[in-house]
Amino acid sequence: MDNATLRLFGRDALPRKRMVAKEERVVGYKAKKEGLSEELIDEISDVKGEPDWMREHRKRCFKIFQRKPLPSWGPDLSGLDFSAITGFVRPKGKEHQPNSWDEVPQEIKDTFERLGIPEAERKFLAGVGAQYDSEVLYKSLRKSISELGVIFTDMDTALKDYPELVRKHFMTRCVPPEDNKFAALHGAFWSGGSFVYVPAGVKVPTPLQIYFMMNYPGFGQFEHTLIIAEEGAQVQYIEGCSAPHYTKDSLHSAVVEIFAGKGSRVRYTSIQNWSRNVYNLNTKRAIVEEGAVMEWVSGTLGSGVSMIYPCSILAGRGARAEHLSIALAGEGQIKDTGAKVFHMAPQTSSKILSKSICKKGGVVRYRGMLYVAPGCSGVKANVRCDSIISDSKSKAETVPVMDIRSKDAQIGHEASVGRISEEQLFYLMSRGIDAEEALALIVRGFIEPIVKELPLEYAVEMNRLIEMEMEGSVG
Amino acid sequence: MSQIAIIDKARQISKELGEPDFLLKIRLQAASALRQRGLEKVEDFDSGLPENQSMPSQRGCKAESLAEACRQKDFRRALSFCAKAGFSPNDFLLSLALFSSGSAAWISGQEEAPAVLERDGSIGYAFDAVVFAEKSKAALIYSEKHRADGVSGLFAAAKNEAEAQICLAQANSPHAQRKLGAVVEAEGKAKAKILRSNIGGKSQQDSFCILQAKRQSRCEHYNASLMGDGQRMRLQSEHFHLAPSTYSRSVFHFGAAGNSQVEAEAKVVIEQPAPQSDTHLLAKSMPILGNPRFRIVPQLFVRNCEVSAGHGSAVSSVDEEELFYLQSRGIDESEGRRMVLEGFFSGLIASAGLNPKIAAVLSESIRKRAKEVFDGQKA
Repeated sequence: MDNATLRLFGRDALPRKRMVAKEERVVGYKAKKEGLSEELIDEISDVKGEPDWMREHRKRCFKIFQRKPLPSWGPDLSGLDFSAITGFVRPKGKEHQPNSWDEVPQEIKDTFERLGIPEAERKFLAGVGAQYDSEVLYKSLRKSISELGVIFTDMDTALKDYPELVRKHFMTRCVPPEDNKFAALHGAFWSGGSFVYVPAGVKVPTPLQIYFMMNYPGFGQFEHTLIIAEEGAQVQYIEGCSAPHYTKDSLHSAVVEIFAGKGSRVRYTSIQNWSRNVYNLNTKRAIVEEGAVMEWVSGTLGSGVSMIYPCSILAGRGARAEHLSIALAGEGQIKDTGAKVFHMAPQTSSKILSKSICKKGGVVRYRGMLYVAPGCSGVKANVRCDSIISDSKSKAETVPVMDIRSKDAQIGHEASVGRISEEQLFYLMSRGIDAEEALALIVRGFIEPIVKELPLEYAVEMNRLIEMEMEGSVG
Repeated sequence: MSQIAIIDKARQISKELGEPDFLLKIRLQAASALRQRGLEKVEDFDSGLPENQSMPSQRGCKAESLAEACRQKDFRRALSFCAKAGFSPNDFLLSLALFSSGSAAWISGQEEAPAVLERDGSIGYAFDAVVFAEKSKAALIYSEKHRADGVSGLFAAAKNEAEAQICLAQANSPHAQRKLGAVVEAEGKAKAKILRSNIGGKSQQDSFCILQAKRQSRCEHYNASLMGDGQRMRLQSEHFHLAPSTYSRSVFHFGAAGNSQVEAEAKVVIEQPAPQSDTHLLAKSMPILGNPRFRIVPQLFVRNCEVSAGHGSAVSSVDEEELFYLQSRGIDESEGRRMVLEGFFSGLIASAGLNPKIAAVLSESIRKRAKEVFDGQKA
């Protein structure tokens, strides 16, 4: 694993059976007991000093979580042991909230410096945040951006400083806790995450980024991201994540809520590279108002089991959504991912493009929903999902649902599954390119429509990571 | 409608029909399979047995009762296998367990004119089988004109190197709510074409299971269905590639008007022992008038990397430019829409490469139905 790759995505493939002394030193506070319970809710609320309404919200969500069964479809989640999850770990340094990078504890700083966080902040980001286990330890926003009225802070701070905004939008109409079992779980135990508010007419010129790190073994990370873009605003948000590999399973159950106001434009980019002992079960949704544009760009490379279906609700006339995703499943990985778009207004349009690669027994599954409500005239939607299946131990599946209730909609969908074309490989090799490089070129071409939407540095690293995964796939 | 216990009813019917034990055994295997799936009781569609024992009318093929057909060991074994298999649709098993009228048709040789099997009556549970012999080249029209609610089952087999075409034409009476469960097998190097047409009935639920378990078989599955106001159609299709070098194409064209509903879930599975398989599925839906609903779910499950697999789906109403073109030639809007609709289906019929008689029968029934749908919408 070279430093260049570690810099951005921080993959650490070395499995660890137990905590080592270094990791132990960075733990400032952790939950008194393993397992998820109402006692833990009180503990979290006390530690954070939350208002009563949030404590009650958490408890209501916990009741919903206990009531709902596990989904009867998708990957097998029976191995997920909620009683063994450590639901809250606060790193050292959080108690005095570092104001600068120098104040962050050294061990944590080392981890994020290897990932290139401060370097990226200096070079090209408008703002950056870094979450370690349950808390955002570091955040900063360029002065020029904050002067425009843009808010970029962690959710705990937002809850204290902007209570009205948070209460109005937090798990109300975008992702209510009744939505699914894991949204309810998140609502009960959420901690960390980011709050972004962009006032009307403000265009944030460079991306905001947050990086999530799960350090503690058997940990449950439940960060909440809330993005509000008012009328005419523009913002790009990037998140990356990683975790070291332990033998004990971890759970990542995040919720992302995006409110794209009239005429606004929001791009949400997520590059996930959790280690393979992580269950990655997220709920991501955007409500897109009249004339607004919502873009989802996702790379799902890590975790053992992923279930992620970013959803756009096109609520206003002329709203538009674009979903671009790459999923890579290697040995022992199941990527059950997709996209959902609900056309609830006339003249709305959407595009979904999903590319997936599976090898060495990995399973990729595209699961999508395209819904057009009655009376929505002039709707256009296109879905395309392509899969490369490298060997006969792997599986590629597509389950797209189209529920069309308007006679004026124009809907198209196509999907293809196959291996890397031998003819294409031969063509390149006959031009003097060796087999591995030929494979890399073909794979790069396959994922190019999505990778080109990433900032350059991320695109380069994404290509390298995927090529590394594909090594040895020829023949 | 009253509910009946499947196993008890199966025994009762078998006794009343004086069936041999081996046929009762097959009924009970089907009933047992349903019980394992949690289905123990169903509606009792049959009002009285004597009327319902009638065989389907037939032309151009050798047809006999299912009891007679089951005296042949291979046929009996095939039915028994389907009765126990996990892939058989519920409605197939139901009709196999409870049929009061069952037939089997044997088609052999090289025939230009299609054979005909017609169900026209008030039969609750019916089961029919058709077998295309090795190296035969023939076609069959299986016509359904049921007048009452019920469930039909169909087992169709194309033996080694047979070229078989089966047209399942449904034109039930407007109040009939029916289900069809079908299992279709294509053996080594066989070429099977199945075309399903739904234009009648109040509701129709079709469940297909198509098996390509021997190498180099080819199977084409077509569906041309036109639903008018108030009609509902549900299609569930599972198509399995289980052997190397198997080829399949599925093309579905659905038209719907008024407040009709069309639901189609079509799954294609390429299992690991099926390298060099080639499959493609295309589902096109056209809302005509009113506000019909379409729910289309084309699914692909691939477990082997040496394959070519894909699917596509499109929903789009009549192209306004096409309509304008016709109107500018003096054709009124309603007539123009009807012509575009007929063209939508005739494209499928032409590309399917069907027996000319089958193609003609189908085109005529679609044309007639399209006129009814438009006249109905105008009224």
